[in-house]
Amino acid sequence: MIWTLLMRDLGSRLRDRSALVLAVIAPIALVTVLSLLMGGPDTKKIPVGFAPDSASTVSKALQDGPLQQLTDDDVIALTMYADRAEITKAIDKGTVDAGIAVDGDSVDVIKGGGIVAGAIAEAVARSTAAAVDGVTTAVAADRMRGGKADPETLAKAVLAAKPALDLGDATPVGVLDTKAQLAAGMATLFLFFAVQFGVLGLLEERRSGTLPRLLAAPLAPWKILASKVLTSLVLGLISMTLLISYSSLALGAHWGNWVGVSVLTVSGVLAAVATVTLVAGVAKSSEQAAAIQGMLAMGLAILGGSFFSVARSGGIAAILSRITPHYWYGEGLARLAEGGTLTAIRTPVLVLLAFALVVGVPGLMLAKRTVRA
Amino acid sequence: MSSPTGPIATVSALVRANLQRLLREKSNYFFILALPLMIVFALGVAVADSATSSLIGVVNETGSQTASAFRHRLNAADSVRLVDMSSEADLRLAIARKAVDAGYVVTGSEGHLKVEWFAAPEANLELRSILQSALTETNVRGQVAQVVADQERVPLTEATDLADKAAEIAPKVEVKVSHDDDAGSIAGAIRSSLAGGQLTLFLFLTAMAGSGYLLTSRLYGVTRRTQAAPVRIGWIILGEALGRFVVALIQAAIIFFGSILLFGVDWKEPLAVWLLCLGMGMVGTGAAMLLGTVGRSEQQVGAIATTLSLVLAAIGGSMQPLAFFPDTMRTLAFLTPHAWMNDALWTILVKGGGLAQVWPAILVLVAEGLALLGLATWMMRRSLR
Repeated sequence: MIWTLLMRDLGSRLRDRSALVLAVIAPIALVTVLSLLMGGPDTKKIPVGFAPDSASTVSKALQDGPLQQLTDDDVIALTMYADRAEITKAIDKGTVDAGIAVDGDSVDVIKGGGIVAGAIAEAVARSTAAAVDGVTTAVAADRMRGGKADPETLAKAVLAAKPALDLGDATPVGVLDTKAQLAAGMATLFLFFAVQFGVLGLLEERRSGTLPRLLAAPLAPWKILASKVLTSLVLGLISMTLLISYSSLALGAHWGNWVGVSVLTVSGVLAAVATVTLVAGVAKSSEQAAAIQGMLAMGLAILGGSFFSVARSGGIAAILSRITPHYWYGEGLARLAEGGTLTAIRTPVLVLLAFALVVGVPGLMLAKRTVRA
Repeated sequence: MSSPTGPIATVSALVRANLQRLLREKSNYFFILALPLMIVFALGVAVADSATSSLIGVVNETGSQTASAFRHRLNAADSVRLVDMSSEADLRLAIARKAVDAGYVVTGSEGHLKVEWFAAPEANLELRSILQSALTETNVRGQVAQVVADQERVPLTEATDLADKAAEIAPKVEVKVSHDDDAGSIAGAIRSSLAGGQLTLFLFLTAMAGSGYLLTSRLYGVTRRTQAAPVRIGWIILGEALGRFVVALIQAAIIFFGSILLFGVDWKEPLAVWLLCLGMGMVGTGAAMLLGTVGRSEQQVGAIATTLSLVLAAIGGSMQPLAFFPDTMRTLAFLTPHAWMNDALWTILVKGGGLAQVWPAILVLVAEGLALLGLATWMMRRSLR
């Protein structure tokens, strides 16, 4: 009996273009547009200007040391200038984002628009100055004791001395693929729109008068409710599955371990269905329910980081972010990307299921009243 | 008492009736106010410092002085913000989740400290170079002491004292840092354009919500009956549109002033920005009227309104600054009203322009709004015939 109701509801929903638009077309369109925009200018080398002073030790140390290293590592693109004024001109024109001008023992760091470029230029200037000062100090100490050590040798010795803090190689950490992150954001945003087409149908049927007629049939009221909830569940799963498949097959997004993604997705859809069930139980009319659900879908998505990471900002926003299913879905995907196995996503999955229970059980109780009334 | 007649009276009667219908339902207040307030919150997060600084996670349980001196130096870099974390696992997760951009873990004890750097495989070379520089600065004092100890054959403590004394008399390299004020900060620009993009997105979204109202007027036959009176279709649409426009303006005002009062967003040229908001409000209202005229059911209209609002916003540079678009996409973007407003906001917020530079954009928005209203009127006339 539930099966018959479910198939009837699903059939009519899949023919209804609004459900199709919000559950499938809109998220696919958005993910496609946003992934097209990602093909923009790549992260280029950072343009930095340098005005050397051939007679200066610091100048030589900078040029042969960190500036050469950063150029070799493709971090910066170095352009040479005659003096400070030329660098300033180049910054104003936007040719370079920051610059270093050396005159004797004086190092000028000029920061322009690029905040990273300015930070690199300053860091390089300060560390080179510190190293050169170190060598001067070592020479001065030697002279204080009446020594005659060769400054070159001392300089090499300082560079070769064991550092107090030793920097090891970089350890790579797996991060969630940008395209998958984008698709996950849009998928969870529209999931909350997609699921409304099942449960909220209760309120429509009540308005149009088909609900009392259904109740007149020899049919337990809970079966009617169950069929609506199942419709939401199936719509949510279809929406998520299509977007995940589309983004991986057509856009090349890497979602990670399939089993993990599936477990997360089912838990996320349950949380969304629970939310819309509560809305159906609380709202007075189908218009009101759709408005509340729309507001919740947008609000939870903003808070949960579907558009941009709220968790980064720290403070209250980051804490509030953690009450949304969107956050935990993203957290689960990140844990999978970091190399986590199924046990790593235990917490996100449990939080999503707990959300579904805490919101869904009162939702079901309230929605059941709607069926009876 | 005879009531005044004529188009103005008709339109104002319709506006009044529509607003009354909207405000009679108490729950509508919540919707009119809640969405803009949520948007103010989103704006606040978008302009937060952390949206554009690089975040570096720090795990340091050693209690070492050298390690904290290092942390201090790193913290002085102005594009970097440090976030303390309790374990390597937490750090890895935060990087995976992009809650921080990279991070380091200090292990060992004083004299044998090791800094391990964690980052996503492809990115953040510049962060590592900033880290390396801070490390060099921190290490040099100890390295000099070692060299002095070897060279002069004295114990390390004595060598450290000697090196410190020598450092006082030795000539120093002087590092001066200055800021070229003519150049705008890229980070600030991104932040401003993020906030501007959100403003554009949500103005259009809230105004589009009006489509449902015209639709119900139409579906319930109110529009057809109003037509029985000697009233032209154009005035009916205008009456509906003005009512919705007022609501859109109230919402725009909440977003605009709320972002100023609560998060200190600096819109630089308030008048020009506000005029842009008016223009965008008109486009949104016009689009809403058109959708309300051609739509068939409330659900259909709601679905299209949401989808259109988000897709146009994405194409028009509300989710990523237009300046970072590939060239073709940037040209295409100007087919959307959003791109006009976002580009104008970039001119105001980043390039320091004002009304003199952005009036064409305002004109385009107003023209688009009027064109959509005209189209809606024409379609409505056809549908009622």
